[in-house]
Amino acid sequence: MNRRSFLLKTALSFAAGIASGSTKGLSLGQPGDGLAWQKAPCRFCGTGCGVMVGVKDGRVVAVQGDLENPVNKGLLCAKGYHAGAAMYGRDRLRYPLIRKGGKLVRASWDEAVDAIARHILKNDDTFAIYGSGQWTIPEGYTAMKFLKGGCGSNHLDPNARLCMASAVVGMLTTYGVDEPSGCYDDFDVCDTVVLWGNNMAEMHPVLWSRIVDRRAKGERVEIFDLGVRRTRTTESADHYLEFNPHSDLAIANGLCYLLVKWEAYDKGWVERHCSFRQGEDGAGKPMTFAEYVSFLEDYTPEKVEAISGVPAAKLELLARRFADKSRKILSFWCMGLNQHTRGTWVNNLVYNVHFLSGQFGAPGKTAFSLTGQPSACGTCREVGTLAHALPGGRVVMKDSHRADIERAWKLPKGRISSKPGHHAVSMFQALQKGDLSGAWVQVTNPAHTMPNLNEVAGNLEKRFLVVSDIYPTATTKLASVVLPSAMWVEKNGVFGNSERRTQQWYKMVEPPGEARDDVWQMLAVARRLYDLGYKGMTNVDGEFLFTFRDENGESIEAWKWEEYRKRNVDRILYEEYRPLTHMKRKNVAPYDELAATRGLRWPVAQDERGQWRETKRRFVEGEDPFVKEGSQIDFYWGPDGGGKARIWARPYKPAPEEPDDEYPFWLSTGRVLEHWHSGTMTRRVPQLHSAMPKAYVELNPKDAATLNISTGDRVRLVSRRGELTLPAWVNGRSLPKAGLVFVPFFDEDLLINKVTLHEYDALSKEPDYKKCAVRVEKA
Amino acid sequence: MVKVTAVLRIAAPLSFALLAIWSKMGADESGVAGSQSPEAEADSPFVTVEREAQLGDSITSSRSFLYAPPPMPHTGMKQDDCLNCHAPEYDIKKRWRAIRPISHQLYSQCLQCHVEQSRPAAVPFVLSDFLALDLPGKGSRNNEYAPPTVPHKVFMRENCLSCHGATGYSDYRTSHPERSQCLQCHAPEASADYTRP
Ligand code: SF4
Repeated sequence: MNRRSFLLKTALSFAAGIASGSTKGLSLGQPGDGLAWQKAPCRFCGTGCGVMVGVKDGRVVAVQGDLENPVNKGLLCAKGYHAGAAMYGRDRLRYPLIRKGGKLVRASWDEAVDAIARHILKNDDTFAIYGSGQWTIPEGYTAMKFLKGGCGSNHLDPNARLCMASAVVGMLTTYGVDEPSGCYDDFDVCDTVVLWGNNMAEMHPVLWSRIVDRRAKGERVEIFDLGVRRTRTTESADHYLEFNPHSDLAIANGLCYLLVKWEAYDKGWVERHCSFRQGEDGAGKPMTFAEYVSFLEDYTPEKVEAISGVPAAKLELLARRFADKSRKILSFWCMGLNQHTRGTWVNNLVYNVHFLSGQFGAPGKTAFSLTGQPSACGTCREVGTLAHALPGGRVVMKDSHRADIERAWKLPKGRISSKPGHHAVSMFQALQKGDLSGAWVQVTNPAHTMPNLNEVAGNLEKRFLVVSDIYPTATTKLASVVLPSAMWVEKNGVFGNSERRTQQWYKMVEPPGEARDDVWQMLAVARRLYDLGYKGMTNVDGEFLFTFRDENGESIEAWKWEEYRKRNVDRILYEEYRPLTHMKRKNVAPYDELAATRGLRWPVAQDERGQWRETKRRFVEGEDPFVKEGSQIDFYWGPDGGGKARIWARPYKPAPEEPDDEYPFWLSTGRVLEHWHSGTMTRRVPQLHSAMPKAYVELNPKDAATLNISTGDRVRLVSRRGELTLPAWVNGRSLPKAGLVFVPFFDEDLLINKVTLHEYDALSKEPDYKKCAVRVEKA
Repeated sequence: MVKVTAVLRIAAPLSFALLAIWSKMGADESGVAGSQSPEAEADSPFVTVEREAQLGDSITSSRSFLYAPPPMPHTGMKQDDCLNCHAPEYDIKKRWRAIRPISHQLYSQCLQCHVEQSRPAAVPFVLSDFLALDLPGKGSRNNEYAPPTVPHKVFMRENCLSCHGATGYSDYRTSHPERSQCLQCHAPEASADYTRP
């Protein structure tokens, strides 16, 4: 048999003859021999593609697209294929580390758990948890119960605050409940796509393919790209509407103005399903239609052109599409609208456009907020791991909601605090000032990704910082205790993606060294607290807060690793959480149902034969089991009652920091196709690293010519907060509009967040990473 | 004319390094569309360039594991450029003959999986201990004359000639490229196909 060894390369040999690293190959005997494939959702983005993970000899050796998963039907992007390789960077954290004499030194789990428990024992009200949209549902649920139920504090917030909080508050203020109405099936039938500052080709690649590949089948999809730079997405767009940063508020209002002026809005739809609202806050005041119409007078095409730079004719073209009842229009947005100091408003405004045109709640007609992280929806929004929230859409400010959860968790009355805790930015400011004594960071890297790092993430090394991660990061460098975690298929997990699909996977391989699950880490510390006599970890029956029982009613000592690893603790936690989703009609499917399927989109309900049925479109009669009969569309959580959603009068207001003489350029930041967030996983995959080895600054060619800058030149970006020098890329992957520069944030050696602004949306508390003013100098 | 434009669109942004490799390959082997002599074409339409030797582009050298999408072995491409050369229906005789047609159904967003690599190669960020899924070995045969089975999965590799055809990898080329209905004789091994129960 002529079997060749499959050489492992850490650098691509064909390029420059560099071949370094291990050359150990893993040979496969007979076809399929010893190789087992199992399903999982992809580790990375909120698309939630299904993958098949190939395991041999206890290691992940290959990853394939899952043909049976309706999300991606077998296709993946470059990140997804390499999710397995991302587990095997040589510097995986294998042992707990504790800072002693200024250095992180190896410690035992027992020592680490003890150090954390003893800190919390003394500082339970000033200790925070900073979590993640990459937490699995059981991980987020455990952290929430630990802090809100155990410590009686609400200082728990996720990195998802930085990425989709505006979408959440947008939905809450519009139709009273979080998460989108539509689903990915709408992508297959829409005929018009409107992208609001959204580079889907790089950020949600497989969803983008799902739309664009329809053209290869002869289907027509007209794409409007509204953006501040030409991207790979623009390459497939029919129309590119380039706008001045922050003027999206005016554009959306301008579309509404035209629909009303032309009397082309869907009167019946609006009367049946909408109420009108004005004001700058979340509650607002009612307004009449006539008042709304006069509000819109400020947004004539000419006025919008003056604010946004979008030619009136182009705005009218887009408005004509919305006026055309035969169209099926789908709007998409992600960070462009969410990372915005008026993020909530602009989310509201996109719904306005879809409501006025009746482009909502039918196949192919919807406004779809895309989510960045794999379980920002499942864990942060649905479990509610936010400073003001409790599981299943509850909030700490409401007595009845707290009482519900205190009952479910068997807590003494009054244990859960009614005071919202610190949200993400405020949490790090409090750590900086010393108002918080310490924090436990899981599955995220705030010392890299917080905005305005110099000011917001200072002094972390002086606090009691616990970091659970899989690799050394900018944050582990500052930690007092580093805990090595299990990653992805090294543990059981459940994620919830952008279309309300909950997906489950089983552990397939062992984590390296002494790395252990994040859930176990929290259980172990909780138990240590209990053993140390900390009252918070005791329930009303006098039992440990995390008491789990097996089928025979025997208590499981899950805080012991040897016991934990024998069980599926995920299933227990998920099933404990599941009934809590019913109040807000977010009913998620049973664990075993998830295990048997490629996930189900909530709300689920059982039919007369006991089969679990998912919901494609929420609020739509015939699809959503909770919709009132005869209502067609029923926004059953609508804040004004009567099944109605709100159309909001939200004005255009300038951004808090705009370019001026001293700082004449806009700076926008974001991701690239190849790297996941701060790059700690994807940069350890040779193919992905080699595809995108370091950060750069993208300039418009005209600006570059004026400043005498060409590709490769070193350029210094200076803002009021910090500066960074990095190489220029002109005519590269994307083309920013004149007067704007773009920098990706994945590179830990070139931290653009030293330059960004931490100003945030007043309602959602989500900071704006897309806009601040900088000076550009050739270095 | 269309062809010329296509070639120019691709040739123009190519890196200097790649051009250098091309020029070393000699006109006979590397001529672009239409540059072969008629005799050479008549002689054997299946003469190919050993690209593996030239570009180091063996089936194993660049991709992360057996079923991973290979990174792009050249630079400077825009999304729309790829199919000018790699479209499945492209007539092999009319183009640079070592360019492989894509192995799978037509997806339009090629760069979403086939990522470009930096030149010169980037210094590794951190070394990797990933052990890749190896080549599957040969398929089994019932007897000496029986056609071997397909030892790997077929999904995303539906166009067998991409790897096994005239422009395929030298070790894997078929002895009978004139036949096109491969799966009629070479049955895929069920065990290599995770989609089966
Ligand atoms: S699109 Fe997102 S979920 Fe799908 S493979 Fe890529 S990173 Fe993973």
